[in-house]
Amino acid sequence: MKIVVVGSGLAGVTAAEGLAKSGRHAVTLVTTETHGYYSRPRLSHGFALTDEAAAKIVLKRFEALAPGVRVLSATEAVGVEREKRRLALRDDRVIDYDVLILSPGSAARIPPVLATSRPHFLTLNNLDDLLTLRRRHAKSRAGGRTPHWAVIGGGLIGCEFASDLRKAGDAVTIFHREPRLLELQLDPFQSQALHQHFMAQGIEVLYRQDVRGVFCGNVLTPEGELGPYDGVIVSTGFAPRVELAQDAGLAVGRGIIVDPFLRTADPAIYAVGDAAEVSGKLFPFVSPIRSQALWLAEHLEGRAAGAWIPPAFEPVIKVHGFKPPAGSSAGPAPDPSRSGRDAPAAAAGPAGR
Amino acid sequence: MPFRTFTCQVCGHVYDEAAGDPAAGIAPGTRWEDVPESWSCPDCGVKKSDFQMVAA
Repeated sequence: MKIVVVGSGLAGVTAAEGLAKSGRHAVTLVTTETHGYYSRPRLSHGFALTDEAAAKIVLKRFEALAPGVRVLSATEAVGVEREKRRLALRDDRVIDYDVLILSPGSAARIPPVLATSRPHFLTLNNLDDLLTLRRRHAKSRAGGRTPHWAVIGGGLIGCEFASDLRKAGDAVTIFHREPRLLELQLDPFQSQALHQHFMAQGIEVLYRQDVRGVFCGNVLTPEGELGPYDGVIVSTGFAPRVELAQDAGLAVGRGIIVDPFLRTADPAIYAVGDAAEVSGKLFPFVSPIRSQALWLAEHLEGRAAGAWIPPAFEPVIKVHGFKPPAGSSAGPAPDPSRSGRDAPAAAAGPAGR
Repeated sequence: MPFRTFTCQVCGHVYDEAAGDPAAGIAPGTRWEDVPESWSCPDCGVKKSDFQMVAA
């Protein structure tokens, strides 16, 4: 079979390598990425790393993927001709497929009110974003300055990245819309514990912040303007990349809609990863995404019995030095003997924002 | 022997022998050889065999 995979994150690479194993398929992976394969959850703790450690964020260069995976990097899939089973690329190349696997991942979700401020803030959605932030840090330090960062959004990625900025010795202010941190993941008591932890670390947290704009390092709210900061990082959720599927006439919701066999309404097109909406749910975490990709490879080989079943997993909060105290709504403690702990695969934050 | 570190080939999580993995009941100072085969990566859940050694 000719199998074409769109996207080189955990989902795409795992599926492509799984399908290349038998040597029976021609597997082509199309990606906008140039660095190689890396795990996006690592980015939120990639700031405080030494240069030497940061160089290891890329786990495999594309040439080092399993033999049999042909990678077309630094390009983009721009159109699907479903009747002819052809994928059009930005560079005018066209590739035939028997099976198309969409694993385009997600972009940073930008609140509409901040759209016009786009040139004035940064996000943390891919390795280039991280490298930009690291360069800016190095430049400030070389000039004898300690950078002060504003982080917009106190969700998973905002809190994780703020803790990493601080670990690197920089000053950090979090602007959060809600009255407490990580309100989707923690109960009020646990949020308070995280607040205390951040206070002890010297991280400033501002609550009920209705950020209306970012301009030249300043953060604008109805109360006025704060700043200037050395950089403003917006981490207010993630947006699955559904455009390619949508343009091809496939159904999309928050993600690309697939059945429990991870298949779209077109029997030749599947979706896995952050962007796959399975029975109405997104699974933007490492362990279910890896599970989807492994299952799909088995399924396409005719070896999977039944539909994909989401594995049990527990999102883990990776804030340096912080462990949520047992909370009233946290439920039973996860059994440490199973692989139930997990990290967000979407570098831009949790679902539901 | 100095403590070593190991990197998960799937997600990049680092197991540091000096730190162990107390959340999974692995005490600080636990040598890689002594980490049970049933242990899995706290970030992505892959098995111990998917880790690789990194020069200390």
